[in-house]
Amino acid sequence: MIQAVFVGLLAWAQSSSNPLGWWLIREPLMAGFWVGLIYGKPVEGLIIGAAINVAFLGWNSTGGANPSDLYSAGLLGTAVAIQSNMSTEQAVVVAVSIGVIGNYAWILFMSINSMLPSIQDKYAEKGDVRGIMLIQAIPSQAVVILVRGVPAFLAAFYGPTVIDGLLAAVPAWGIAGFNTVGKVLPAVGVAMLLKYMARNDLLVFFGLGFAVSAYMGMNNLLFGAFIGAAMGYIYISLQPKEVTVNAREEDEI
Amino acid sequence: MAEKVETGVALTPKDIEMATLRWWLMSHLSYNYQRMQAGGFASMIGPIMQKLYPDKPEEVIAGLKRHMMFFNTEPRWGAVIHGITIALEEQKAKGEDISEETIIDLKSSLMGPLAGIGDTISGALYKPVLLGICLGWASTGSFLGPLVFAIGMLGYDYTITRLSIRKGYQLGTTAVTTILEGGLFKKLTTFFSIMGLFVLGIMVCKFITVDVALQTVVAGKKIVFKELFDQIVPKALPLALTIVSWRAIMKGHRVINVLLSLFAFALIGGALGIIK
Repeated sequence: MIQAVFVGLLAWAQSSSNPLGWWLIREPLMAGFWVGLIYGKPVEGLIIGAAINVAFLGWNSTGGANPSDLYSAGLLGTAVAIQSNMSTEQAVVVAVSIGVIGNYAWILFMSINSMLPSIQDKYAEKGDVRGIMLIQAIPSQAVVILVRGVPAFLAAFYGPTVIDGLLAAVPAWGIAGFNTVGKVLPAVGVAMLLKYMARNDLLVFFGLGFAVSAYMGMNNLLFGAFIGAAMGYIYISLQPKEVTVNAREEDEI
Repeated sequence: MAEKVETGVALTPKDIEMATLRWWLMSHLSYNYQRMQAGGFASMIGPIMQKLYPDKPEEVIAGLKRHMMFFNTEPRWGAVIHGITIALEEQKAKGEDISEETIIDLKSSLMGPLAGIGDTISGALYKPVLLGICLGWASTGSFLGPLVFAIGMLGYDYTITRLSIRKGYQLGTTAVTTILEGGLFKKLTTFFSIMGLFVLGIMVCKFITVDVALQTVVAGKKIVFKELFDQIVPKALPLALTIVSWRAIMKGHRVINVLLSLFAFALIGGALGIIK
Protein backbone atom coordinates (compact mmCIF):
# COMPACT_ATOMS: atom_id res chain seq x y z
CA MET A 1 0.00 0.00 0.00
CA ILE A 2 2.65 2.50 1.04
CA GLN A 3 4.80 1.37 -1.87
CA ALA A 4 1.92 1.98 -4.27
CA VAL A 5 1.50 5.46 -2.78
CA PHE A 6 5.17 6.14 -3.50
CA VAL A 7 4.68 4.94 -7.09
CA GLY A 8 1.80 7.40 -7.37
CA LEU A 9 3.98 10.23 -6.06
CA LEU A 10 6.73 9.22 -8.46
CA ALA A 11 4.21 9.36 -11.32
CA TRP A 12 3.32 12.90 -10.27
CA ALA A 13 6.95 14.07 -10.12
CA GLN A 14 7.72 12.29 -13.37
CA SER A 15 4.95 14.02 -15.30
CA SER A 16 5.20 17.48 -13.75
CA SER A 17 6.69 18.71 -17.05
CA ASN A 18 10.02 20.20 -16.09
CA PRO A 19 13.62 19.14 -16.77
CA LEU A 20 14.00 17.45 -13.38
CA GLY A 21 11.01 15.20 -14.06
CA TRP A 22 12.06 14.61 -17.67
CA TRP A 23 15.63 13.57 -17.03
CA LEU A 24 15.57 12.15 -13.51
CA ILE A 25 12.37 10.08 -13.69
CA ARG A 26 10.64 10.06 -17.08
CA GLU A 27 12.88 7.75 -19.09
CA PRO A 28 12.07 4.08 -18.30
CA LEU A 29 15.73 3.56 -17.43
CA MET A 30 15.39 6.12 -14.62
CA ALA A 31 11.84 5.19 -13.63
CA GLY A 32 12.85 1.54 -13.40
CA PHE A 33 15.61 2.38 -10.97
CA TRP A 34 13.35 4.45 -8.69
CA VAL A 35 10.53 1.91 -8.74
CA GLY A 36 13.06 -0.81 -8.01
CA LEU A 37 14.25 1.22 -5.05
CA ILE A 38 10.67 1.52 -3.73
CA TYR A 39 10.25 -2.26 -3.86
CA GLY A 40 13.73 -2.92 -2.48
CA LYS A 41 15.14 -4.28 -5.75
CA PRO A 42 16.95 -1.36 -7.44
CA VAL A 43 19.14 -3.56 -9.66
CA GLU A 44 16.20 -5.63 -10.93
CA GLY A 45 14.19 -2.45 -11.49
CA LEU A 46 17.04 -0.92 -13.44
CA ILE A 47 17.41 -3.97 -15.70
CA ILE A 48 13.66 -4.11 -16.37
CA GLY A 49 13.52 -0.35 -16.98
CA ALA A 50 16.41 -0.58 -19.43
CA ALA A 51 14.70 -3.39 -21.35
CA ILE A 52 11.50 -1.35 -21.58
CA ASN A 53 13.47 1.71 -22.62
CA VAL A 54 14.86 0.01 -25.72
CA ALA A 55 11.36 -0.33 -27.15
CA PHE A 56 11.01 3.44 -26.65
CA LEU A 57 14.31 4.52 -28.20
CA GLY A 58 12.57 6.43 -30.95
CA TRP A 59 9.99 8.06 -28.70
CA ASN A 60 9.80 11.78 -29.36
CA SER A 61 8.57 14.42 -27.00
CA THR A 62 7.11 16.66 -29.68
CA GLY A 63 3.82 14.84 -29.71
CA GLY A 64 3.37 13.23 -33.09
CA ALA A 65 2.82 9.55 -33.58
CA ASN A 66 4.01 7.86 -30.43
CA PRO A 67 2.40 4.43 -30.32
CA SER A 68 2.76 4.11 -26.57
CA ASP A 69 3.23 6.48 -23.63
CA LEU A 70 6.80 6.63 -22.34
CA TYR A 71 5.92 7.89 -18.86
CA SER A 72 3.52 5.20 -17.72
CA ALA A 73 5.18 2.36 -19.65
CA GLY A 74 8.48 2.67 -17.80
CA LEU A 75 7.08 3.47 -14.38
CA LEU A 76 4.08 1.15 -14.23
CA GLY A 77 5.63 -1.53 -16.43
CA THR A 78 8.42 -1.88 -13.89
CA ALA A 79 6.07 -1.60 -10.91
CA VAL A 80 3.88 -4.44 -12.15
CA ALA A 81 6.73 -6.59 -13.46
CA ILE A 82 8.80 -6.38 -10.29
CA GLN A 83 5.87 -7.37 -8.08
CA SER A 84 4.88 -10.28 -10.34
CA ASN A 85 8.48 -11.50 -10.76
CA MET A 86 8.23 -11.30 -14.54
CA SER A 87 11.02 -11.89 -17.02
CA THR A 88 12.30 -8.75 -18.73
CA GLU A 89 10.69 -9.87 -22.01
CA GLN A 90 7.29 -10.16 -20.34
CA ALA A 91 7.84 -6.79 -18.68
CA VAL A 92 8.38 -5.14 -22.08
CA VAL A 93 5.09 -6.51 -23.40
CA VAL A 94 3.16 -5.41 -20.31
CA ALA A 95 4.85 -1.98 -20.37
CA VAL A 96 4.07 -1.28 -24.03
CA SER A 97 0.45 -2.32 -23.44
CA ILE A 98 0.15 -0.05 -20.40
CA GLY A 99 1.64 2.77 -22.48
CA VAL A 100 -1.03 2.41 -25.17
CA ILE A 101 -3.65 3.23 -22.53
CA GLY A 102 -1.33 5.79 -20.93
CA ASN A 103 -1.37 7.90 -24.10
CA TYR A 104 -4.78 9.14 -22.99
CA ALA A 105 -3.29 10.65 -19.83
CA TRP A 106 -1.18 12.95 -22.00
CA ILE A 107 -4.17 14.02 -24.08
CA LEU A 108 -6.15 14.70 -20.87
CA PHE A 109 -3.27 16.73 -19.40
CA MET A 110 -2.99 18.90 -22.51
CA SER A 111 -6.77 19.32 -22.81
CA ILE A 112 -7.55 20.25 -19.21
CA ASN A 113 -4.58 22.64 -19.15
CA SER A 114 -6.08 24.43 -22.13
CA MET A 115 -8.30 26.34 -19.72
CA LEU A 116 -5.27 27.98 -18.09
CA PRO A 117 -4.15 30.54 -20.72
CA SER A 118 -7.53 32.27 -20.50
CA ILE A 119 -7.01 32.77 -16.77
CA GLN A 120 -3.47 34.01 -17.42
CA ASP A 121 -4.92 36.51 -19.91
CA LYS A 122 -6.95 38.05 -17.08
CA TYR A 123 -3.80 38.52 -14.99
CA ALA A 124 -2.01 39.98 -18.02
CA GLU A 125 -4.79 42.58 -18.31
CA LYS A 126 -3.97 43.65 -14.76
CA GLY A 127 -0.21 43.55 -15.28
CA ASP A 128 0.03 40.90 -12.56
CA VAL A 129 3.22 38.93 -13.31
CA ARG A 130 3.00 36.91 -10.11
CA GLY A 131 -0.50 35.81 -11.01
CA ILE A 132 0.63 34.57 -14.42
CA MET A 133 3.48 32.62 -12.82
CA LEU A 134 1.23 31.07 -10.19
CA ILE A 135 -1.25 29.89 -12.82
CA GLN A 136 1.69 28.62 -14.83
CA ALA A 137 3.00 26.52 -11.95
CA ILE A 138 0.23 25.39 -9.60
CA PRO A 139 -3.09 24.28 -11.15
CA SER A 140 -1.48 21.89 -13.64
CA GLN A 141 0.05 20.00 -10.72
CA ALA A 142 -3.46 19.08 -9.61
CA VAL A 143 -4.15 17.92 -13.16
CA VAL A 144 -1.05 15.72 -13.09
CA ILE A 145 -2.05 14.17 -9.77
CA LEU A 146 -5.49 13.44 -11.19
CA VAL A 147 -4.51 11.98 -14.57
CA ARG A 148 -1.15 10.45 -13.63
CA GLY A 149 -0.70 10.04 -9.87
CA VAL A 150 -4.00 8.41 -8.96
CA PRO A 151 -4.08 5.97 -11.91
CA ALA A 152 -0.46 5.02 -11.17
CA PHE A 153 -1.32 4.24 -7.55
CA LEU A 154 -4.24 2.06 -8.64
CA ALA A 155 -2.15 0.24 -11.26
CA ALA A 156 0.70 -0.40 -8.83
CA PHE A 157 -1.71 -1.61 -6.17
CA TYR A 158 -4.17 -3.73 -8.15
CA GLY A 159 -2.15 -4.33 -11.33
CA PRO A 160 -0.06 -7.32 -10.18
CA THR A 161 -3.13 -9.27 -9.02
CA VAL A 162 -4.85 -8.71 -12.36
CA ILE A 163 -1.73 -9.55 -14.37
CA ASP A 164 -0.95 -12.63 -12.24
CA GLY A 165 -4.47 -13.88 -12.87
CA LEU A 166 -4.13 -13.32 -16.59
CA LEU A 167 -0.75 -15.04 -16.76
CA ALA A 168 -2.01 -18.04 -14.78
CA ALA A 169 -4.79 -18.52 -17.32
CA VAL A 170 -2.46 -18.53 -20.33
CA PRO A 171 -1.16 -21.93 -21.56
CA ALA A 172 2.55 -22.66 -22.02
CA TRP A 173 2.62 -22.00 -25.77
CA GLY A 174 0.94 -18.67 -25.10
CA ILE A 175 3.69 -17.75 -22.63
CA ALA A 176 6.31 -18.73 -25.24
CA GLY A 177 4.66 -16.39 -27.74
CA PHE A 178 4.42 -13.68 -25.09
CA ASN A 179 8.15 -13.94 -24.32
CA THR A 180 9.01 -13.73 -28.02
CA VAL A 181 7.00 -10.52 -28.36
CA GLY A 182 9.21 -8.95 -25.70
CA LYS A 183 12.30 -9.86 -27.72
CA VAL A 184 10.88 -8.45 -30.97
CA LEU A 185 9.36 -5.15 -29.79
CA PRO A 186 12.70 -3.33 -29.40
CA ALA A 187 12.79 -3.41 -33.23
CA VAL A 188 10.10 -0.70 -33.18
CA GLY A 189 12.30 1.54 -31.04
CA VAL A 190 15.30 1.08 -33.31
CA ALA A 191 13.17 1.52 -36.45
CA MET A 192 11.71 4.79 -35.16
CA LEU A 193 15.21 6.08 -34.45
CA LEU A 194 16.33 5.04 -37.91
CA LYS A 195 13.52 7.18 -39.28
CA TYR A 196 15.06 10.24 -37.63
CA MET A 197 18.74 9.49 -38.09
CA ALA A 198 18.94 7.77 -41.44
CA ARG A 199 20.17 9.71 -44.44
CA ASN A 200 20.76 7.71 -47.58
CA ASP A 201 24.34 8.90 -47.91
CA LEU A 202 25.14 7.89 -44.34
CA LEU A 203 23.27 4.59 -44.15
CA VAL A 204 26.50 2.69 -44.76
CA PHE A 205 27.51 3.50 -41.17
CA PHE A 206 24.44 1.66 -39.88
CA GLY A 207 25.45 -1.38 -41.92
CA LEU A 208 29.00 -1.08 -40.64
CA GLY A 209 27.88 -0.98 -37.01
CA PHE A 210 25.66 -3.99 -37.55
CA ALA A 211 28.38 -5.96 -39.35
CA VAL A 212 31.00 -5.27 -36.68
CA SER A 213 28.62 -6.36 -33.95
CA ALA A 214 27.04 -9.34 -35.72
CA TYR A 215 30.25 -10.95 -36.96
CA MET A 216 32.62 -10.02 -34.15
CA GLY A 217 30.18 -10.16 -31.24
CA MET A 218 31.26 -6.66 -30.24
CA ASN A 219 28.35 -5.04 -28.39
CA ASN A 220 29.99 -2.41 -26.21
CA LEU A 221 27.99 0.71 -27.05
CA LEU A 222 30.41 3.21 -25.51
CA PHE A 223 33.22 1.76 -27.60
CA GLY A 224 30.87 1.98 -30.59
CA ALA A 225 30.17 5.64 -29.80
CA PHE A 226 33.90 6.44 -29.76
CA ILE A 227 34.47 4.71 -33.09
CA GLY A 228 31.35 6.40 -34.50
CA ALA A 229 32.53 9.80 -33.26
CA ALA A 230 35.93 9.29 -34.84
CA MET A 231 34.35 8.32 -38.15
CA GLY A 232 31.98 11.29 -37.94
CA TYR A 233 34.89 13.65 -37.32
CA ILE A 234 36.89 12.27 -40.24
CA TYR A 235 33.84 12.42 -42.51
CA ILE A 236 33.19 16.08 -41.72
CA SER A 237 36.87 16.98 -42.09
CA LEU A 238 36.95 15.48 -45.57
CA GLN A 239 33.94 17.49 -46.75
CA PRO A 240 34.88 20.26 -49.19
CA LYS A 241 34.68 23.73 -47.66
CA GLU A 242 31.45 25.44 -48.59
CA VAL A 243 31.70 28.68 -50.51
CA THR A 244 29.61 31.30 -48.74
CA VAL A 245 31.06 34.49 -50.16
CA ASN A 246 28.91 37.13 -48.52
CA ALA A 247 25.93 35.75 -50.38
CA ARG A 248 24.02 36.37 -47.20
CA GLU A 249 24.22 40.14 -47.40
CA GLU A 250 22.49 40.22 -50.74
CA ASP A 251 19.57 38.31 -49.34
CA GLU A 252 18.84 41.00 -46.84
CA ILE A 253 16.13 43.44 -47.65
CA MET B 1 12.71 59.83 -7.30
CA ALA B 2 12.60 62.06 -10.32
CA GLU B 3 11.19 60.99 -13.68
CA LYS B 4 13.89 59.17 -15.63
CA VAL B 5 11.79 56.90 -17.74
CA GLU B 6 12.99 58.17 -21.08
CA THR B 7 16.57 57.01 -20.52
CA GLY B 8 15.35 53.48 -19.83
CA VAL B 9 16.67 50.83 -17.48
CA ALA B 10 19.56 48.59 -18.53
CA LEU B 11 19.27 44.89 -17.89
CA THR B 12 22.06 43.19 -15.95
CA PRO B 13 23.55 39.73 -16.58
CA LYS B 14 21.70 38.62 -13.47
CA ASP B 15 18.36 39.51 -15.07
CA ILE B 16 19.23 37.27 -17.99
CA GLU B 17 20.29 34.45 -15.66
CA MET B 18 17.03 34.66 -13.73
CA ALA B 19 15.01 34.69 -16.96
CA THR B 20 16.92 31.59 -18.07
CA LEU B 21 16.14 29.83 -14.81
CA ARG B 22 12.47 30.75 -14.99
CA TRP B 23 12.18 29.44 -18.54
CA TRP B 24 14.16 26.30 -17.76
CA LEU B 25 11.94 25.33 -14.83
CA MET B 26 8.57 26.66 -15.98
CA SER B 27 8.41 26.37 -19.77
CA HIS B 28 6.11 23.35 -19.89
CA LEU B 29 4.42 23.37 -16.46
CA SER B 30 1.06 24.34 -17.96
CA TYR B 31 1.72 22.89 -21.42
CA ASN B 32 -1.61 22.82 -23.29
CA TYR B 33 -3.26 22.57 -26.68
CA GLN B 34 -4.63 26.10 -26.60
CA ARG B 35 -1.38 28.05 -26.54
CA MET B 36 1.37 25.51 -25.85
CA GLN B 37 4.27 27.35 -24.13
CA ALA B 38 2.74 30.85 -24.07
CA GLY B 39 2.35 30.90 -20.29
CA GLY B 40 5.96 29.80 -19.94
CA PHE B 41 7.16 32.58 -22.20
CA ALA B 42 5.10 35.19 -20.34
CA SER B 43 6.43 33.89 -17.00
CA MET B 44 9.97 34.13 -18.35
CA ILE B 45 9.67 37.71 -19.59
CA GLY B 46 7.18 39.11 -17.04
CA PRO B 47 9.72 40.28 -14.45
CA ILE B 48 11.88 41.71 -17.26
CA MET B 49 8.96 43.84 -18.41
CA GLN B 50 8.43 45.06 -14.85
CA LYS B 51 12.06 46.03 -14.59
CA LEU B 52 12.08 47.79 -17.98
CA TYR B 53 8.96 49.83 -17.20
CA PRO B 54 9.06 50.62 -13.47
CA ASP B 55 6.69 53.59 -13.84
CA LYS B 56 4.60 52.53 -16.81
CA PRO B 57 2.19 49.76 -15.82
CA GLU B 58 0.34 50.12 -19.13
CA GLU B 59 3.52 49.10 -20.98
CA VAL B 60 3.93 46.07 -18.72
CA ILE B 61 0.33 45.07 -19.47
CA ALA B 62 0.86 45.49 -23.23
CA GLY B 63 4.05 43.40 -22.99
CA LEU B 64 2.39 40.60 -21.03
CA LYS B 65 -0.47 40.49 -23.51
CA ARG B 66 1.80 40.21 -26.54
CA HIS B 67 3.79 37.44 -24.88
CA MET B 68 0.69 35.46 -23.92
CA MET B 69 0.22 34.66 -27.59
CA PHE B 70 0.60 31.12 -28.96
CA PHE B 71 4.20 29.97 -28.72
CA ASN B 72 5.83 26.60 -29.23
CA THR B 73 9.41 25.64 -29.96
CA GLU B 74 12.12 23.29 -28.80
CA PRO B 75 12.83 24.67 -25.33
CA ARG B 76 16.64 24.51 -25.47
CA TRP B 77 17.85 25.67 -28.91
CA GLY B 78 14.64 27.64 -29.39
CA ALA B 79 15.61 29.81 -26.41
CA VAL B 80 17.64 31.89 -28.86
CA ILE B 81 14.27 33.51 -29.55
CA HIS B 82 13.95 34.45 -25.89
CA GLY B 83 17.34 36.15 -25.91
CA ILE B 84 16.50 38.12 -29.04
CA THR B 85 13.08 39.07 -27.68
CA ILE B 86 14.60 40.33 -24.42
CA ALA B 87 17.10 42.41 -26.42
CA LEU B 88 14.33 43.87 -28.56
CA GLU B 89 12.14 44.66 -25.55
CA GLU B 90 15.08 46.39 -23.90
CA GLN B 91 15.73 48.51 -27.00
CA LYS B 92 12.02 49.30 -27.28
CA ALA B 93 11.93 50.43 -23.65
CA LYS B 94 14.90 52.69 -24.34
CA GLY B 95 12.83 54.44 -26.97
CA GLU B 96 14.03 52.69 -30.12
CA ASP B 97 11.43 52.50 -32.86
CA ILE B 98 10.50 48.83 -32.55
CA SER B 99 6.87 48.03 -33.12
CA GLU B 100 4.87 45.40 -31.31
CA GLU B 101 4.33 43.64 -34.65
CA THR B 102 8.08 43.30 -35.18
CA ILE B 103 8.46 41.39 -31.92
CA ILE B 104 5.42 39.19 -32.52
CA ASP B 105 6.43 38.42 -36.11
CA LEU B 106 9.96 37.59 -35.07
CA LYS B 107 8.79 35.11 -32.45
CA SER B 108 6.29 33.34 -34.66
CA SER B 109 8.57 33.16 -37.68
CA LEU B 110 11.50 31.73 -35.72
CA MET B 111 9.82 29.19 -33.47
CA GLY B 112 9.27 26.69 -36.30
CA PRO B 113 12.77 26.57 -37.79
CA LEU B 114 14.42 26.50 -34.37
CA ALA B 115 12.10 23.72 -33.21
CA GLY B 116 13.24 21.78 -36.26
CA ILE B 117 16.90 22.23 -35.38
CA GLY B 118 16.39 21.60 -31.68
CA ASP B 119 14.22 18.52 -32.05
CA THR B 120 16.72 17.02 -34.45
CA ILE B 121 19.77 17.60 -32.28
CA SER B 122 18.20 17.03 -28.85
CA GLY B 123 15.56 14.41 -29.55
CA ALA B 124 16.79 12.48 -32.54
CA LEU B 125 20.57 12.64 -32.10
CA TYR B 126 22.04 13.58 -28.73
CA LYS B 127 19.57 11.85 -26.44
CA PRO B 128 19.38 8.52 -28.32
CA VAL B 129 23.17 8.20 -28.47
CA LEU B 130 23.58 8.94 -24.77
CA LEU B 131 20.62 6.74 -23.93
CA GLY B 132 21.97 3.88 -26.00
CA ILE B 133 25.27 3.92 -24.16
CA CYS B 134 23.60 4.19 -20.75
CA LEU B 135 21.17 1.38 -21.57
CA GLY B 136 24.18 -0.81 -22.28
CA TRP B 137 25.33 -0.27 -18.69
CA ALA B 138 21.87 -0.42 -17.16
CA SER B 139 20.94 -3.71 -18.83
CA THR B 140 23.78 -5.36 -16.93
CA GLY B 141 22.55 -3.79 -13.68
CA SER B 142 25.18 -1.06 -13.48
CA PHE B 143 24.12 2.17 -11.75
CA LEU B 144 26.47 4.01 -14.09
CA GLY B 145 23.57 3.92 -16.59
CA PRO B 146 21.07 6.14 -14.74
CA LEU B 147 23.83 8.29 -13.24
CA VAL B 148 25.50 9.19 -16.52
CA PHE B 149 22.13 9.65 -18.24
CA ALA B 150 20.85 12.04 -15.55
CA ILE B 151 24.02 14.15 -15.54
CA GLY B 152 24.36 14.03 -19.33
CA MET B 153 20.79 15.16 -19.98
CA LEU B 154 20.39 17.73 -17.18
CA GLY B 155 23.77 19.24 -18.03
CA TYR B 156 22.96 19.37 -21.73
CA ASP B 157 19.49 20.77 -21.15
CA TYR B 158 20.60 23.63 -18.92
CA THR B 159 23.81 24.44 -20.81
CA ILE B 160 22.13 24.70 -24.20
CA THR B 161 19.22 26.73 -22.81
CA ARG B 162 21.58 29.16 -21.08
CA LEU B 163 23.89 29.51 -24.08
CA SER B 164 20.96 30.02 -26.47
CA ILE B 165 19.45 32.83 -24.42
CA ARG B 166 22.81 34.54 -23.91
CA LYS B 167 23.76 34.27 -27.59
CA GLY B 168 20.35 35.48 -28.66
CA TYR B 169 20.57 38.45 -26.30
CA GLN B 170 24.11 39.39 -27.36
CA LEU B 171 23.70 38.99 -31.08
CA GLY B 172 20.10 40.10 -31.49
CA THR B 173 18.55 39.25 -34.81
CA THR B 174 21.85 38.32 -36.44
CA ALA B 175 22.04 35.32 -34.10
CA VAL B 176 19.44 33.48 -36.06
CA THR B 177 21.06 33.87 -39.44
CA THR B 178 24.29 32.61 -37.91
CA ILE B 179 22.57 29.49 -36.70
CA LEU B 180 20.28 28.89 -39.65
CA GLU B 181 22.70 29.60 -42.46
CA GLY B 182 26.07 28.81 -40.92
CA GLY B 183 27.51 25.39 -41.60
CA LEU B 184 27.54 24.53 -37.88
CA PHE B 185 24.10 22.94 -37.79
CA LYS B 186 24.75 20.79 -40.83
CA LYS B 187 28.10 19.65 -39.47
CA LEU B 188 26.59 18.81 -36.08
CA THR B 189 23.76 16.75 -37.56
CA THR B 190 26.11 14.90 -39.91
CA PHE B 191 28.47 14.11 -37.04
CA PHE B 192 25.69 12.88 -34.75
CA SER B 193 24.03 10.93 -37.57
CA ILE B 194 27.19 8.97 -38.31
CA MET B 195 27.88 8.29 -34.65
CA GLY B 196 24.23 7.45 -34.00
CA LEU B 197 23.81 5.18 -37.00
CA PHE B 198 26.94 3.22 -36.13
CA VAL B 199 25.75 2.74 -32.54
CA LEU B 200 22.27 1.88 -33.82
CA GLY B 201 23.74 -0.91 -35.95
CA ILE B 202 25.27 -2.40 -32.80
CA MET B 203 22.00 -1.95 -30.91
CA VAL B 204 20.21 -4.17 -33.42
CA CYS B 205 22.42 -7.06 -32.30
CA LYS B 206 22.50 -6.16 -28.62
CA PHE B 207 18.86 -5.39 -27.87
CA ILE B 208 16.73 -7.29 -30.38
CA THR B 209 17.35 -10.75 -29.00
CA VAL B 210 14.84 -12.79 -30.99
CA ASP B 211 16.25 -15.81 -32.81
CA VAL B 212 15.23 -18.62 -35.14
CA ALA B 213 14.07 -21.66 -33.16
CA LEU B 214 13.08 -23.88 -36.04
CA GLN B 215 14.77 -27.23 -36.44
CA THR B 216 13.92 -30.28 -38.43
CA VAL B 217 15.20 -33.79 -39.04
CA VAL B 218 16.07 -34.72 -42.61
CA ALA B 219 17.24 -38.27 -43.29
CA GLY B 220 18.13 -38.87 -39.67
CA LYS B 221 20.20 -35.70 -39.56
CA LYS B 222 19.15 -32.85 -37.33
CA ILE B 223 19.16 -29.47 -39.04
CA VAL B 224 19.21 -26.43 -36.78
CA PHE B 225 18.25 -23.44 -38.91
CA LYS B 226 19.86 -20.97 -36.54
CA GLU B 227 23.28 -22.50 -37.16
CA LEU B 228 22.77 -22.28 -40.91
CA PHE B 229 21.83 -18.63 -40.72
CA ASP B 230 24.66 -17.81 -38.35
CA GLN B 231 27.20 -19.06 -40.87
CA ILE B 232 25.96 -16.57 -43.47
CA VAL B 233 24.63 -13.51 -41.62
CA PRO B 234 24.43 -13.78 -37.84
CA LYS B 235 21.57 -11.75 -36.35
CA ALA B 236 19.84 -11.66 -39.74
CA LEU B 237 16.38 -11.88 -38.16
CA PRO B 238 16.75 -8.82 -35.90
CA LEU B 239 18.16 -6.86 -38.85
CA ALA B 240 15.32 -7.92 -41.14
CA LEU B 241 12.67 -7.00 -38.56
CA THR B 242 14.26 -3.60 -38.03
CA ILE B 243 14.51 -2.78 -41.72
CA VAL B 244 10.98 -3.97 -42.51
CA SER B 245 9.58 -1.86 -39.64
CA TRP B 246 11.62 1.16 -40.66
CA ARG B 247 10.55 0.94 -44.31
CA ALA B 248 6.93 0.55 -43.23
CA ILE B 249 7.14 3.70 -41.07
CA MET B 250 8.85 5.58 -43.90
CA LYS B 251 6.07 4.54 -46.27
CA GLY B 252 3.65 6.30 -43.96
CA HIS B 253 2.22 3.37 -42.02
CA ARG B 254 1.23 4.40 -38.52
CA VAL B 255 3.70 3.31 -35.85
CA ILE B 256 0.95 1.74 -33.78
CA ASN B 257 0.09 -0.54 -36.73
CA VAL B 258 3.73 -1.53 -37.17
CA LEU B 259 3.86 -2.27 -33.46
CA LEU B 260 0.72 -4.41 -33.59
CA SER B 261 1.98 -6.31 -36.66
CA LEU B 262 5.26 -7.15 -34.92
CA PHE B 263 3.26 -8.11 -31.84
CA ALA B 264 1.14 -10.55 -33.82
CA PHE B 265 4.13 -11.91 -35.75
CA ALA B 266 6.10 -12.60 -32.58
CA LEU B 267 3.15 -14.01 -30.66
CA ILE B 268 2.27 -16.50 -33.40
CA GLY B 269 5.86 -17.30 -34.32
CA GLY B 270 6.76 -17.85 -30.68
CA ALA B 271 3.71 -19.97 -29.96
CA LEU B 272 4.43 -22.20 -32.97
CA GLY B 273 8.07 -22.55 -31.98
CA ILE B 274 9.44 -20.99 -35.18
CA ILE B 275 11.18 -18.15 -33.37
CA LYS B 276 12.20 -17.73 -29.76
